[in-house]
Amino acid sequence: MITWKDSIDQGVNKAKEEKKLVLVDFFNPQ
Amino acid sequence: MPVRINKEKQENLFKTYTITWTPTIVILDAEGEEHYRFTGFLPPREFSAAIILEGAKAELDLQNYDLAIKCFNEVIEKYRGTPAVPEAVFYLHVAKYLSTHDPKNLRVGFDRLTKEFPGAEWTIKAAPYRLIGN
Repeated sequence: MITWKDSIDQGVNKAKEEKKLVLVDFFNPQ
Repeated sequence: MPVRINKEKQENLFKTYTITWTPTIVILDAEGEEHYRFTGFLPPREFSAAIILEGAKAELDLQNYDLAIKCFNEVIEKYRGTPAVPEAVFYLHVAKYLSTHDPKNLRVGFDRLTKEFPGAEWTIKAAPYRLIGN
């Protein structure tokens, strides 16, 4: 199960901790 | 680390990253630097192949050659028939060349692309490597 974050900064900080990449999905709900 | 940015709630980030159409997937490294992006809808299998491929390319940029090679091979072996595979073959052999400095890896990549994907865009892009001796 994927847990999506809604903040790029949070994603980057977590990526630093875990030495991983960040995948950002820019979407339009309309 | 998966992040979703909603246009209705965070339009400022769409401007910051110059996102003109959705969906757009952007791959960042742990410093927040962008490496790759792609736009448009893909079915689940093609989407999985595409994000593994783009992640592998980012690892290649970061000189994490072993991880990049592992991920390119994953695309090639597990996602046969998807559009990501020819590009994964191309970059697999680039990664092998960069990790060994042996140019024969590029020639092997060209030969493989010519055999498995004749006429494909990534086969054409690899064409100069035919000049490298076996």
